Amino acid sequence: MMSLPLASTRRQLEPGTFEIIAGTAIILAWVILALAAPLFSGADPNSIDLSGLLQPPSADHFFGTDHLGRDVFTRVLHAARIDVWMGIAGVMPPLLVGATIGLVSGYAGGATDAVMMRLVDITVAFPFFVLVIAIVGILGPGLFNYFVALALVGWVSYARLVRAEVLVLKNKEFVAAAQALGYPPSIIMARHVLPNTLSSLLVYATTDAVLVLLAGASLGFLGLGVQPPTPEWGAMIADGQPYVVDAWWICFFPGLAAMSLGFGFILTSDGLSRVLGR
Amino acid sequence: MHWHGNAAAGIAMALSLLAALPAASAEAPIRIGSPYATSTLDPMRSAAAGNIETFGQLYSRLLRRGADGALEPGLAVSWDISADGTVVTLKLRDANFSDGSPISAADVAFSLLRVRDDAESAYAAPLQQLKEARAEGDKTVVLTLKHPFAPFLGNLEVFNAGIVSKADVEKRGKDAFTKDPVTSGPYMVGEWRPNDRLILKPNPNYWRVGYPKNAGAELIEVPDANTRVSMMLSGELDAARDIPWSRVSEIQAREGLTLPLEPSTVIYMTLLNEMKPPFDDIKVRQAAAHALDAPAIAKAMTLGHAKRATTTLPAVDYHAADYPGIDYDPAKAKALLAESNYKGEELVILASSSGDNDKLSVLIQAQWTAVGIKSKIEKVDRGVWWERIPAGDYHASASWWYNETLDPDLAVRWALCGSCGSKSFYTGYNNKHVDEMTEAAARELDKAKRAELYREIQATTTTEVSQIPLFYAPYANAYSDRIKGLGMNPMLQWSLEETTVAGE
Repeated sequence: MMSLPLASTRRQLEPGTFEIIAGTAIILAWVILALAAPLFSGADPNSIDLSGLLQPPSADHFFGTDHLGRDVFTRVLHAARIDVWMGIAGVMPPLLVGATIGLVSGYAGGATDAVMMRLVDITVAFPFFVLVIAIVGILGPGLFNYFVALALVGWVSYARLVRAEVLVLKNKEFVAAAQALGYPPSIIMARHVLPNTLSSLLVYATTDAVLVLLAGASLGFLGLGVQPPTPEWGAMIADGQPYVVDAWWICFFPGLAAMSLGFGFILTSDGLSRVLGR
Repeated sequence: MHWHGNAAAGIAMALSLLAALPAASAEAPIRIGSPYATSTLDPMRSAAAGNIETFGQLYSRLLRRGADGALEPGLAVSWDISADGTVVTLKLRDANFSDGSPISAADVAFSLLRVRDDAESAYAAPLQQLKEARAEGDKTVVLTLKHPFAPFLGNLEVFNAGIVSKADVEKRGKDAFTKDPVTSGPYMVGEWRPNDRLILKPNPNYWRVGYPKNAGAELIEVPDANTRVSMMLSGELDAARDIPWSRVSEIQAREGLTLPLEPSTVIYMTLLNEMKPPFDDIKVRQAAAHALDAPAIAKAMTLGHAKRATTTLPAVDYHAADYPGIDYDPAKAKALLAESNYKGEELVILASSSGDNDKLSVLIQAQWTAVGIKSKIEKVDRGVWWERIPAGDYHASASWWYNETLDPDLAVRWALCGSCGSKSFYTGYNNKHVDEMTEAAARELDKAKRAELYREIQATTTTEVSQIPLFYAPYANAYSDRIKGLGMNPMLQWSLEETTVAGE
């Protein structure tokens, strides 16, 4: 990343633009680090060195070594492949499921709406994290099952959000016009209603990415995430926890990484909501 | 054979921090922190760590272990074994339960038979050879065995053979062990707060006059290892179980604390499922064993505080300590693999999510990968682990077990005998000759001949890799200098009754 042309820009930036740029820069930086992890550190993240356990940060090991002598720096970088993916891809299943349900529910109204919204109420009645843990516990640990659990639990927020927007949109003139022209409901929903909900969906999804990322890391911490020895920030923190007093670096660096990526998502979301006038 | 009852509850930690100051009495109780819960007060009903320690404080047994580990008279003052070795006649001392009622021969017979027969008995194995238990008068118990059985007296000292009150259990049923149980040991229950602590107070009717030498104790559940260490360092605990290996040196160097690394009968090993390919092939098992650098694993796992395991048995009597074990030889492992039926399939290493089991699994996986054994780790909680292992739904799994007495008979039956119920710790290892030697060694009353048999059992099972022995872990318990005389014997029994509290 070269210096951003912010300082030289004469024109007053719209409120929120800086946050978007800074936030996406952090996210992009992590995406690049994740994709190019082998370039930054040639070591194998799972290579064990029993003669170099619990080494503090040094020139050889920037972030020290863990309880199996593995290089923490390399593992943090490789873990980004899982965690960044988790944050970005993890919001997609609930977004797709939730937006579809919200759209149909809001547009159709009546009995369909009533049933769907009761379903939302039931899901909301359970704490998010408890339900995710329960589902992953039943399906078995792993990234795919985590995404399944997210889709099953996280869709409700998107459904409520989209439904609320649709209730307003469906009374607008352009919708009435489309109806008068005889377009089928599926076309009206897809072409005319859905695009108008995208801005709020986008804002919410970037906020949700933080939640998804941290929840995923928490599952890793609880042993329900990616299976060992694959590096993942939450699991690395859990691994380091017994040694936290003597070897703080095992927990600290993955924690810092998770925090910075989360911060990137929050900044972006904050900026987006300002720019999109919410 | 028993295992960590992994304390799943995290709440106990916070609670114990809050409640560290009970009512100030003349002498404060001895506070012992442990990750293992007391989940029942009925000695028959559990074989989990936590309860095993508690049972010894509440219930006396016919025999006891002295400080040197030798069997000594307990509730029985003397015993006599018939010439053919099948009838054991024990004379009871004049002793009373905590409620003042006398401990009679009928109580003894009742206590032993419920361990053997009750459907809810957690561990009936030690008394399987007991044919009949009969009270002859008030103070004589006649135990008839199915056949001569060398380990029998030792088995009367096992944690679940504590004597309970027949009258009370028959009257109150399960309540006899929840509300103020009638005890025969050094302590009785002051208060039991499940998932938090068990408060012990001295049993005034305890048969060892002058014991316990303290005003009581609290067995406090502290699931988190670093919290236990902090509580030891700050003086909130007088003793703590299971100090993490990474903190051992720190505690040892600390003024006012000791950490003696006490001998245990614990063995860490790797189970190989021999009921299905590829580990049904002895060559694959031997390759898997030669691929593991056991000394390096022992060092990495315990930071040098444990000795590598050389045989399939832990450090019990007749342990073949001079047996060389399986050497680390990756080249030999590769050669054996090449001759075997293994064709590079990906195997499942089942890891329990408790403790540092996944660390051990990752080490094993890495060393196997180096010789060409491919595997993936599946991390499951202990409940699932205990479903899948007996069901044979795994290829390999690293775990540990311990023997509740020094005699090797129960250990062999648990881990090495294919026809003994647990199918060699659910590996399906099955060697008829080993099973025959198990029975012969149990009936053999000549010590030298027994030693010979157990040596051959260990040599055979180690060569055939019934399991891969990894290391013998000592108990890493920390003690404060505020108390004197507290220790833990290899059978997980605290010497709590001998413990004195130094000046306040």
